[in-house]
Amino acid sequence: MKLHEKEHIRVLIADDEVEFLETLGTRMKLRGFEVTTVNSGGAAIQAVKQDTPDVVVLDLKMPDLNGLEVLAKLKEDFPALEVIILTGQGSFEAGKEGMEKGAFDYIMKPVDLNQLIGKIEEAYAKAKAA
Amino acid sequence: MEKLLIPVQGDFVAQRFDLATEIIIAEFDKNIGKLTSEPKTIIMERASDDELCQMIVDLNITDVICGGIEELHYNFLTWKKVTVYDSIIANWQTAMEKAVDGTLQSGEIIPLAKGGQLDT
Amino acid sequence: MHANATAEAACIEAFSKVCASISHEIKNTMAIINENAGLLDDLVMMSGGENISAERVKAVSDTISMQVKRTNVMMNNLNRFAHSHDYETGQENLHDILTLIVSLTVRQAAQKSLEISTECSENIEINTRLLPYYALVYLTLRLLIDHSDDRDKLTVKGELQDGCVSVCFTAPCVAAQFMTDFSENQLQVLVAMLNVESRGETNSLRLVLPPA
Repeated sequence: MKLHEKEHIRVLIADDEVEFLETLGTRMKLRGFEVTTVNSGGAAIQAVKQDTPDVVVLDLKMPDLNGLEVLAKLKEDFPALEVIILTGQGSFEAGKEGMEKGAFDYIMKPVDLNQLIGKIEEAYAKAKAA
Repeated sequence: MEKLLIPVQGDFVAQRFDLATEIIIAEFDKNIGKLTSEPKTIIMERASDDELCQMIVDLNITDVICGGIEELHYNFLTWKKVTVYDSIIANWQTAMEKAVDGTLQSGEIIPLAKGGQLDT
Repeated sequence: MHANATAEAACIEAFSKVCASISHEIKNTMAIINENAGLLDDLVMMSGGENISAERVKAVSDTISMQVKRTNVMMNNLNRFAHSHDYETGQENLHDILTLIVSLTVRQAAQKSLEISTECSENIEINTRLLPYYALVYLTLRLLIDHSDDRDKLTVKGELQDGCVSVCFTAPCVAAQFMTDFSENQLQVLVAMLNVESRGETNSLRLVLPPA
């Protein structure tokens, strides 16, 4: 059973906090999103190469590659891919760097799910319109 | 519901975004063009355009009225979908009223009402 | 006066790094708690409040209580670090100090997939200015982590040597550059203040505290 059906948006979420990742993934699936979850920056790049999603949600702090490094690599190979950065700390620097590297937006943790979904839908609409 | 932030200096919109330490925050409803709460004043410990930008994001500000602002910070705020009315020279209350009723435009210079005094 | 002011700055640097790290960790646990509370809401909405799977509710409540425990451990660690400033000098168990300091760097170590192990007998006591000592050990370990390659293995070993308390940091990365950075770092003011002798050895750095 799902909370409500909507256009099938394929989202990849990368975060090293596995419990956060799984719960967020479950809640988004309940809302009709097709969700893939990975727990490292390298795995995020691999997952995008294997099956490019509509929108990527990246945690800023991850072992191996951090969110901004992953963003830069993804934008090199998939310039049209929309990426939203999740960050645990409010930092203008991180936000600015995200903007300069082409992120769609950045959102601070703890995440307001409706806000995140709103951003994902906006990012998806932008990608479709491009 | 919209949330407006104005860096101020005395009675005026601060001439420079990066030097402001006093901030006015007000909530308004753009559909009815009215404030929905009394404006609040926040005094920042020190002037910092980076911290001001972070505050704007943290507080979910939707509209900013300011004087001069660096391009980087302007781009950041518009990227975060904040409406920025920049290069405003005006008494902050008048500028706020115009933003709330939807008539304020970037670059606007609003002359003082008769009897008003410029900060020197 | 100047040396004290700089040592104070080093202590503040250590304290602010600990606070930044722990507040970030707490944001993470809060995010997990927040999502799980939201998931409970979702389950209620889906079922209309009836026939909610007890198993799923139990899983959510277990996750929340685990994150509360995790946050509690972090807060206890921060609290212990903060209380190191209660007295100008004090006696404490070295094993406890090293365990605490290593646990305060867990996040930085995890970022680089480092393994940090502690070796220390449980009966070594030190008597010194505790906050500067905590700050010295913490900042040295942070510096070492910064110089480490991903997946390195670091060891922090505490031992008694000729009546002196020695803490030895061993890592493949302890090389000329690390030692240069260490000797030029403002950590030196803490080394001087505590009268600690710092010795660079092959792949290791030793901080030796003389008897009180």
